[in-house]
Amino acid sequence: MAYFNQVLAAIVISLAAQGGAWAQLVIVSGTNGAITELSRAQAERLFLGRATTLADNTPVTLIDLPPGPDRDAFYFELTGKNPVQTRAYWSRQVFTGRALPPRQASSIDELRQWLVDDGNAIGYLPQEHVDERLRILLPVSE
Amino acid sequence: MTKSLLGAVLALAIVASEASADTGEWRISGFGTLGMVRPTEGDASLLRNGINTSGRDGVDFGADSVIGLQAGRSLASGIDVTAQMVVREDQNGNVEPRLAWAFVRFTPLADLEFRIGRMRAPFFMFSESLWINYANTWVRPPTEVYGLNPFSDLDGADMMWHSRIGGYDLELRPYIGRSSLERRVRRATLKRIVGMNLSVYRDDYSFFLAHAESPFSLPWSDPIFIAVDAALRASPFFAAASDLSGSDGYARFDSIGMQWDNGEYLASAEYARRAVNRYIPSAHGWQLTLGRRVGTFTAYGVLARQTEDEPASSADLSSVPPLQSALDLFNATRNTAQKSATVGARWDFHRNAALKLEFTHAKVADDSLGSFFPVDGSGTILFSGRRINLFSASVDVSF
Repeated sequence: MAYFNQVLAAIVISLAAQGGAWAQLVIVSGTNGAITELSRAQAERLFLGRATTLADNTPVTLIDLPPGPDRDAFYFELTGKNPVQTRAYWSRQVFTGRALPPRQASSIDELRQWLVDDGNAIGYLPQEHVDERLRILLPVSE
Repeated sequence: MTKSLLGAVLALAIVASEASADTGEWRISGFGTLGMVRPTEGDASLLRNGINTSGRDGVDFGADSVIGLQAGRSLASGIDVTAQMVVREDQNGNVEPRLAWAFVRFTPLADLEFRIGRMRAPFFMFSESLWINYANTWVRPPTEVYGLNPFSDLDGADMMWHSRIGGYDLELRPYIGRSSLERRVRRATLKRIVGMNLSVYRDDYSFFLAHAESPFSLPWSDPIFIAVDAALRASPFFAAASDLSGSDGYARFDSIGMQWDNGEYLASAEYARRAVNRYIPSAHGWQLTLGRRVGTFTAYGVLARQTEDEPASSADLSSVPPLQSALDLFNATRNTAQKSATVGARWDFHRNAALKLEFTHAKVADDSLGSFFPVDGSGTILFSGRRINLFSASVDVSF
């Protein structure tokens, strides 16, 4: 029984260590950027490619994390679409000329740098990676 | 020709796994399909109206295989451009790159967009993504509906107005333009298209309503037309010849459809209609798709039917039976009515790629070609009343 508990504990710890899907994801912009607030409905329309600007016509550049559990969790929590649905949906949006695809950063570091460099950019990342250069606009988990 | 396309699609599938191409401000994306289809009947090949040419072998790689590359960038605040090149077999059997999209978009207000240039003609619910097979559940959108309108380019302008009313996202889209389709001898043209689409989205649902109309020209040049036209012109019924081919047609297209996808189950249904005054039949078609997703697997079934409402020419030549027979043959070889049942499976085996396998059982209507064409290229064999099975397989990528 003790052995069983140890195995169980090991499994729980290794799952938790994968992080990503369990971490709180937040939508962020650069502290010096033009985007200072964002509603959940706006965020959903932007990340579904149904809007390219805020209500006041401020253009928005979307930045994606590289493919992986954080990106999948973000789209699922914000739009309710699983990874297979999300990719099919976005390929339709892009190739029917509805929306430019989000720019894809190669790492969390690059995503943070792009948000600092582009005042109209928004992106998402696990909350523990938010630093003083970034402004949290919206927590993604409800 | 088909081999080079095949090689190119394979190469694309390999680079697709590299994903992400961000060259400065240009956003580069691409899609592709390597598809094969095999009818069980030796004398029939699949003909997608306005899209491919009929196959000559048992296995046809040309019906579904396609490669597309797209580049888009923002030019200034509220102005962006998009261009898309597509390589695929066309309806004359050529495999050449062509410009599928090339437009400039202006976004003067948050909810208002104008686009000018070449776009896809949005007549039916999946018309714009007809070749983006990765975005669709099936190997190809049902031919019973999508064969009703072979025109895919829209050279013109559109306006998109977005609104959010009580949790519903609305998109109203009027458009104008023209569209040409290369045929072996002369072009068929929708000369002045005026259309309006309404799309409504809410959570897992979307609804689609569309109407468009245009004067059109359709110059037939096939042997049956030439023979029937000559016979009519030499008879007392010479006036009836003007209803077979020419540039005085008028067409109306309507579509109503819905989609629902909650992640585990999906459904889509569409009814579409083509009403014309001459040259081709008036017809309507519908499709119903139901699917279930388990992880990266999707199993689906489709029922579809196209019915002729009015033949290309309704002239009464029964007083001269041989002429009536000739006209009946002309009418039947323009008729693509059929019904079909399909079962299929999609496996998203990679982040950017899906494998699809499909089996279709089709029954061609009486006095109709259905969505098939004789492999001997004669165009004179009708598949009226016959049952034809199709095996289809494809690998779709998007990157």
